This record gives sequence, C-alpha cells and structure tokens, in this order.
Amino acid sequence: MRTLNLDLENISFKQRLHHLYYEHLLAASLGWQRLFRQSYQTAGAIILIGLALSVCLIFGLTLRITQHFQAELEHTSSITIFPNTEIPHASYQDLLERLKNQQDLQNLKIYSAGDLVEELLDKNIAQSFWENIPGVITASSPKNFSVNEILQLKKELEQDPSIIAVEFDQFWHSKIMRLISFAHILSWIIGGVLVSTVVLMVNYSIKLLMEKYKQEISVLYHLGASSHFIQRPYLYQGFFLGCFGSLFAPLCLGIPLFLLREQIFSLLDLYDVTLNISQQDLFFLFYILIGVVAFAWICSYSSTKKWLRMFELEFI
Amino acid sequence: MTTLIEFERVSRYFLEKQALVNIDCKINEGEFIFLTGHSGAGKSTFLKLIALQDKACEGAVKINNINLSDLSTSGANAYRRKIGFIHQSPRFIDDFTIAENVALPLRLRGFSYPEAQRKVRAALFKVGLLNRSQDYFHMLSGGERQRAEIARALVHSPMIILADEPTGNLDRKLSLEIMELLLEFNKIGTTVIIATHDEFLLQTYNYRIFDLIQGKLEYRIIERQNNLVKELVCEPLI
Repeated sequence: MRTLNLDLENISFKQRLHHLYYEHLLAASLGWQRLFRQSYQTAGAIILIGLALSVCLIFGLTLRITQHFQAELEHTSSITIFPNTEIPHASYQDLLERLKNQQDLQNLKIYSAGDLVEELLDKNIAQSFWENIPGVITASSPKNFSVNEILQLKKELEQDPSIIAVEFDQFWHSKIMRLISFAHILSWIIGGVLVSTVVLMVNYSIKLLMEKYKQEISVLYHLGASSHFIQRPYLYQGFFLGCFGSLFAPLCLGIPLFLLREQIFSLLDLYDVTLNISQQDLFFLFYILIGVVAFAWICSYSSTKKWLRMFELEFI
Repeated sequence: MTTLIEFERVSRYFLEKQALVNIDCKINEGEFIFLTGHSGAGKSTFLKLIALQDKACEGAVKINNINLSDLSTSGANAYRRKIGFIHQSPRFIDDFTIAENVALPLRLRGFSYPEAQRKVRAALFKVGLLNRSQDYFHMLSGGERQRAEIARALVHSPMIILADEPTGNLDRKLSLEIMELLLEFNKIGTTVIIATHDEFLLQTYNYRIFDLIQGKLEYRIIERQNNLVKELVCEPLI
C-alpha cells in the first residue's frame, strides 16, 4: 500500500541544480514567447521605458556638459588687484615681487599693467592683458584653484596696505552655480517622477498580464507550483522589457544627436569646449543600462509578489 | 485498512448557500469511491476540499491524520503535487504544447527533462493523444481536452486521484477505457474518488457510492444478483 508522504522529494543537490536550470530555461522561454504574443503591450512598455530612460540620459548628459563648462570657466576666473597708485615705482615692483612669491599666488599667471608689463614679459611671468590700464594687476587662477581659495586670497590681499581694492568677478560664477544647482534639483525631481512612472507602469503591466493569465496561475497553483515557479516567467518578461527599453533609450538619444551633430559641435566650438565620447562616458552609459535592467527586474519582482499574494487569497 | 481521508463535521458555505453540511466520512487507502448527487449538491466542493483547492468553513479535512488547514505553504504545495485532479472543464496553459502541459506535474516534482518526456509520451499514449503532443490546447476538441487533462492528472502517478465528471465529454467506449485506466491505478494502491452523474458507470462498477443530497452525505451500495441491479441505502461502512 502506498502511503502519502508530505515531505518534499529528496533529490540530490546536483539534481536540484539541474532541475533549477530547466525551470529557468522554461520560464525564460515562456517570458520571451509572451513578449511577442502581446506585441502592442510590449511595444508600448518598451517605448515608455526607453523614453523615460532617454530623458534621464539627456539630463545626465546635460549635467556632465554643464560640469565641463563649469570646470573650464573656473580655470579662467580672474582676480583684479588695484594697487595704490600713489606708491612709488620701487614699492610697486616690490608688491609684484611679493605677489609672485606669495605661496597662494605662485601658480597664478599675473597680468599687470603700466610700465611694468614689458619687464614682466621679459621675466616670462606675465602676459599683457587686453588694454594696458595703469596701476591694475590682473591674475588668472590656475586649474587647481577653487573659488573658496580665491576668496581667501582676496581677503588676504585686501589687508595689504599697498593695495586699494581687490575684485573677483564672482557674479557669473554664482550665476552658473545657481544654474547648476537648479539643474541638479530639477534632474532629481524629473528622475523621481520618471522612476515613479516606470514603477507604476511595470506594476500596472504586470497586473494586467497576471489578470490575463489568472486561469493559468490557478492551474499552476492547484498543481502545487510554488510562488517562485509561478513568478519566474513574469520576472523574465520584466527583465526582457528592461533590456529592450534600455537599448531603445540610446537609440532615442543617438538619432537626434547624430542629426544635430554639426549644430552641437559648432555651439561647443563657440565656448571652446571639446566634447569626446570617451571610454568613461561609455561606461557611464553601460552602468545606466545595467541599472535600468536591474530596476525593471526589481519592479516586476515586487509587483508579481504583490499580485500573486492577492490571487492566492482568491484561489483558496 | 488504513484511513487516508477523513472528514470531521465539515461544512462549507458560499454566502448563504450551504454546499456541504456537517459531513463525516472516512476513505481508506487504495479505495475506489463514486461520488454522486444532483447538480449543485456539492460534489466538486467535496473534491476541492480534499485537493486543498478550497477550505472548509467548519470542521477538519484530514489526510493521514494531518489536518490540511495546518499545513504550511510549502507543505500544502508538496501535498498538491501528490494529487491528480481531473477537472470537469479542463484548464491548460495556452502557451504550452499538450506535452509541456502534461509534463508540468513532473517538472514540479523535480523529474529530469528526459525522464519527464518519457513519462509524458507514455501517458499520452494511454489516452490516445500521442499524435497531438505538439499541438496547443485550443487545437483540441472537447473530448481530446478531457483526455489531455486525464493524462496530466495521472502522469506523475499520484497518491490520490480526484475526478470531477471525467467522462462527461467522452463517448461510452472511451469512458470505459478511461475507467479501466483509473482502475489500473487503483490496483496499485492509488485512492480514486470519482464524481459522476453517469448511472451506467455506477452500475457497471461495484464500488462504494457517496450520494450527496443537499450537501448531506448518504451511502449506497449497488448489488448485482442474476444481472439484476439492486440498490441499497445503508449506514456508513466505516
């Protein structure tokens, strides 16, 4: 007589792995088949994910370009020093010498005016700066100088008795900084909205899908399939949608960039900025694509879990 | 004889409608039972309670003295994998071929792909559907669907076979073939419970009959003497 044993089948680890491999193969093929069975829904989901991602990429790219501009502009930030015109020539020369030797200014290129320009040019430490304005020294900051360092230097120079005033053209800088911080906030908000859209979209798509396959889920459930087994085809479907969506996004972005390449490069030339799609940028893109696929997987996982739990309650 | 299935004062209500009322019964291991009753008498509910596709509102359904409502999720899944359920209206996965659908119970039990394939071919051969193994569910006729459902329920040699009108869509000859198949399983110790309206089947095979009347259980035995069928209403045997 056969007895009913409620324990799970005792199978070896190797058999279990083999079994798991076939299960995943089955689930993946099912997920793949269903993508094409619901072509309109699939196309819609891919386009939406792709568009959402391309908007994210546009913002990411814009931020990178802005940061590039910021770095370029900071290099040419200048500080203008107005020495006391009453001071004798020797003292003026002395002031320049002191500025040159000052620790913080050692890396600065000093542009001076008046009769000292030629002398400084001879010493190869200065270049003439637009028009010769007597008694004005202009220094441009080197690449490794930050705004805060320039501000600190400005404060120190102002304490020098031989200097009347020190000006640092901060206006444009603060304007750019405000613009960048605004872009940062905006990109976070838009990113948040897009992420929520993708979450809702995937969640709703999975819900519709599971409603459609409700009978199939009940069949599997009544045959004794675990939730993991039932979930797998939907997870693979989410994964494939994420993959296609993330491949569609660079296409969305790449085509307009290619069509507008002349305009973009001429605009960048105006600002003397060279834009190269370096290896780093490709890695950045690759990380984003991986992130989207993982995100689509997580979204499908959470929504399938949620809807399956609801169905299970309904089935029993 | 060991008791396999036990109903202890089981009731099941659907809103105000009573499907089963205070059912007490015991079914032994390896027994063959016919469950009969008019439409809506609670036959399907009775089978679903055993298959853990439904839960009793009152009372306990026990298998091997284990209350089914005490089983954990994984325990319940493991239990369901050992049941073969033949539904009145077959339900399949549309995206799978018939062979893949029939293989499902084996895949769930961890059978390797080649072994599952071999068993599926054998099961489909038994029900006469081997030539339709690569077809999809929607391509089959009513009778073929029913046979495919039977193949899926029997392919993994379940411990209990529950059949809800298994021969409803089949002609007389095929019905008898299917009954013989179920009897083969019964001979090797599988407990079989068949819900049916078919008086011909009830009278052809001499087994215990559970008669559900308005959700209450009555017991019948059909005796044959000199080719005359005599029906006896009796007390429960167990």
